[in-house]
Amino acid sequence: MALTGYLADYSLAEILQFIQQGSKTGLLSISIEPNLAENITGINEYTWFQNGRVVAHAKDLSSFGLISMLEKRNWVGTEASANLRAQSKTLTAPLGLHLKSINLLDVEQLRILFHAQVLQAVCALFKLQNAKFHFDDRASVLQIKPEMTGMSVTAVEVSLLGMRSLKDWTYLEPKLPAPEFGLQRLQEALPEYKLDTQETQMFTTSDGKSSISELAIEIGISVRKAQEIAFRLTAISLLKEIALDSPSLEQSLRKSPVLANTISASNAIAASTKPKVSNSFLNNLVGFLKKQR
Amino acid sequence: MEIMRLVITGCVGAGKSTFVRSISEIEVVDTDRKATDEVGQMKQNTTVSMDFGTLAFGPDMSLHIYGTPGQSRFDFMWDILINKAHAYILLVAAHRPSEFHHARRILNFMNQRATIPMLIGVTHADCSGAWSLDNISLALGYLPGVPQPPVIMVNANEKESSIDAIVTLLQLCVADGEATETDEELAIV
Repeated sequence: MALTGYLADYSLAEILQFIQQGSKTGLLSISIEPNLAENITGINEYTWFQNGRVVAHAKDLSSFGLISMLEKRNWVGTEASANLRAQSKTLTAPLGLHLKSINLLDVEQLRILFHAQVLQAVCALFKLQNAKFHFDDRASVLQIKPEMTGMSVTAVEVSLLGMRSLKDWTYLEPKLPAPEFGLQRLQEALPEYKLDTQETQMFTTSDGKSSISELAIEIGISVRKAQEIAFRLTAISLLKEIALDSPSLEQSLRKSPVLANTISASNAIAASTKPKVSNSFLNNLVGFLKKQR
Repeated sequence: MEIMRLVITGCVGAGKSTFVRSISEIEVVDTDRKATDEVGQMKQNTTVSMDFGTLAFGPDMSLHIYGTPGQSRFDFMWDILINKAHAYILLVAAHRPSEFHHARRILNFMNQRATIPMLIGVTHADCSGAWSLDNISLALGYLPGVPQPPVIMVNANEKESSIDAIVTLLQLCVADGEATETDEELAIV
């Protein structure tokens, strides 16, 4: 089933987490329509996933993106390049691995290609705020062997890199965890991929009891920075936001004077008891409701 | 009087008020109205930050339905309501992925505060751009293969659909009650 929306609504970090957690395979297209009046150039970006891992990225669907990268670097000659273009439809293995098997590329060259093709390109997508996305989980990765180096990276690893490179967090502001929230680790050990110093500190000091404000003081960073790191670590499923004990009702009402009238009603509910509901009650209610249909 | 408290929660626009209205036999007390009935007894002429409806089905049996405020600045109300609830329904609008993050936040909050039967009701499933139930479940943090609550489609505008959701939830409550009783019996043995 295809998913469509705008990155301003469902951020790229959330999309990548969704794809990894669901071990999704498919094609994520991100586009901005050109608008000459507002001097906006159109953008089309295509990222392929296999079982929750990013396997390739291209700026068009020609299947010649990786070959063009080889040509730019003069890593293949004119004749070899023409042959690759001619053979691209019949490749049975990712192009990168094919070229390595015939000793045209070595592992280091594949790494350089993958870094430029996938890591740099996908990280740059985090800057797009008004783009439209479309994820098609019926799109096959078998067709894109000419765009594949044979290397891959988990969706959340590339997401972490992308979020680190993000300077303007304005559009993610509504999704940042509130300073009074706490953070709980979803795993005890550090992940296999590398966290930076502040991320590591945030991960190791998150105890489910301290608020993000308190963690910020402990780590020695601003609350806003702590919120951004907290968002990063929750978006890669290392931490989970939790609500700490609520401030007293009176405190909450002081913060929201418009709600002052709710105090009696709320107090009355809070003070009421919660008796157990009997099974006969539940069965009677089910019977009653079924008759109401 | 035996009372069951059911909480309907979710983001703004998910259909909470409509759901409560579709079931309630009384005129629903909402944020824009003066309080009446049970809420009114707590304090007359009080404007409340929740929806409240009832459904009496016997001389001494009643279902009380509370619709929570959708915005997180009212989370102290969520706290109060969920602590006194016997079960809850999280409504999620399938066509608004922008709200999934907030829905997940509400879900975490509620599950952290109370371990009670719950289900996820997906509304607006017929709208353009609606996500499938499986994908919504994943977006809310339920991984494939991991136990999760029922996720069902709900049309809050149709009484039958709201009833179906409540019946599904009540069946969970019955199963939960039976499990609790078995645990208590085992504890006695």
